[in-house]
Amino acid sequence: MKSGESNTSPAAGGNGKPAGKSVFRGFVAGLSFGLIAGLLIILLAHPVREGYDGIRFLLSPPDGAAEPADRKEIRRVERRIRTLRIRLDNLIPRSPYMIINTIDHRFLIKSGRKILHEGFCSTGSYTLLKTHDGEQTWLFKTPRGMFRVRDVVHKPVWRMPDWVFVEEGRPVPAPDARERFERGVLGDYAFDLGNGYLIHGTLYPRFLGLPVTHGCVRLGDEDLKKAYTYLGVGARVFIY
Amino acid sequence: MIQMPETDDIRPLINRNGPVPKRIRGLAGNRKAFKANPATRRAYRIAFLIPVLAAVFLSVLLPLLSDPWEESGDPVPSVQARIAASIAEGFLENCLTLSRSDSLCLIVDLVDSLAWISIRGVPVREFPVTRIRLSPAVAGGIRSGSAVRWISGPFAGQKTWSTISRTILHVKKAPRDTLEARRNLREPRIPVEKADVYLIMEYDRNLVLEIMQTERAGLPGILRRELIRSGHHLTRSWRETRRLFSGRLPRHALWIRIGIGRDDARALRRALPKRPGLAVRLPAQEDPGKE
Repeated sequence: MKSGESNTSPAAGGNGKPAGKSVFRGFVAGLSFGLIAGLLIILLAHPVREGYDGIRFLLSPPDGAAEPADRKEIRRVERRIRTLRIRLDNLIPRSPYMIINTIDHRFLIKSGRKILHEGFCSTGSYTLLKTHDGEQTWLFKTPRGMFRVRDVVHKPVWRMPDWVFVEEGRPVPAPDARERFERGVLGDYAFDLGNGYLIHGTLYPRFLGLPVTHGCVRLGDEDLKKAYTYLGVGARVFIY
Repeated sequence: MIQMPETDDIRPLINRNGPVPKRIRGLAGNRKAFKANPATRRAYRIAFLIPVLAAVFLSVLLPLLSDPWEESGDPVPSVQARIAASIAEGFLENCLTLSRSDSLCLIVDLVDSLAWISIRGVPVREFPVTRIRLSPAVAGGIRSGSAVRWISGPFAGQKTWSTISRTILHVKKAPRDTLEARRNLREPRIPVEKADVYLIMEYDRNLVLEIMQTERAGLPGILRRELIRSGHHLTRSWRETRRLFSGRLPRHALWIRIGIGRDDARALRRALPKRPGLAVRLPAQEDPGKE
């Protein structure tokens, strides 16, 4: 090849490089853009499929009448539906039960689907109390789920748990120490739900309807009396 | 207009004698050269089309060919009355199944436009559903009968996206002594919550339940909602992409969108556990279960 003569053979790339290299570069560029486009397609595939579903649904013809065999089957299913409805209805207690709403701090006393009494209550404050050294913590929340009244106590005496003393900066006394017991702070009645949780009265009626308690449910004096009238040992309490 | 040479040599178009200037080097080395060289162009096109067609095939066509209801039970005859009866039966069965668990669950009846939170089969909070929208796939599934298999068994919650937090926790450090306790003593704070509520609840079997408040949302609420919606969409797309790369087909969401009151939506968010059970009664044309 003479000097200054360019490589003009068809096998060569445009910029004087071998054709194979140019083709390879084209391939790599195409693959890169293709991968990006492919990823975008994958990300946007959902609306495309939704659109296809919509079109398919619009174009599909409505179904015809039921076959005799189907009708028999439908009657069987209808009977089953009636049975299931009765079974579900039987799950709702006929005896008075209480529903406590910890979101809006309200309560209902119901029997079946009938509301017997309703009012405001105070529920758990969702406060996490930590000891100064951080070794112990208590979360003041009202538990959720279904509970049964284990015991109904008239004129209850409060046995103060450890967190009362920790919260007040006082030394924690022995488990049976006299200073743990206090009268008159829980109202006239207390309904034991287990695990130390009670439904009781309050000395602070202005806090009814607010999340201020340490997990127990506080009711006003009148509401507590009503609850005592309706709810006995074994009554169901639903908390949500 | 530039006259194209008869040979494949495009070198004269750029610089006959010198090297190719750096500024016109593209991904293919030289854009003009790339345009002029048919072999390079062909290679580029083929390489571009391979991943694009693969993506279209794997993420759009194959999921449409596959049966999205395949994870549940035997098929049933596709007759509307039979379907409606089976949907009602399935719903009540699911309610009964959920009533056996101690945990709180959500029941949505789209026929009576009602939803309720249930504990052990007892509805503790009922609220009306004012707006209902079903994804075309769900509506098609009801018509074809595939939805009967889909709702056989209660749905199990997977993840929830929301504009409000599930709990508002206050952390309090215990005082060292009674003096410090007295100093810190103050009236309890009254939480005032006016935030707009929007929830996306993901369930198994590709169900996405979208819950929005019926009250008109303010600008911050709309922005938060769109942020949550986009975040969910991106997360889902990313999950589908990962699924695709791990050799499984992506699944498109079967969504149900309902509108309820703001207080009820907030109660749902706060009351339900992290993975709540769900029973849905889908609307059908002829419903023997409806009284």
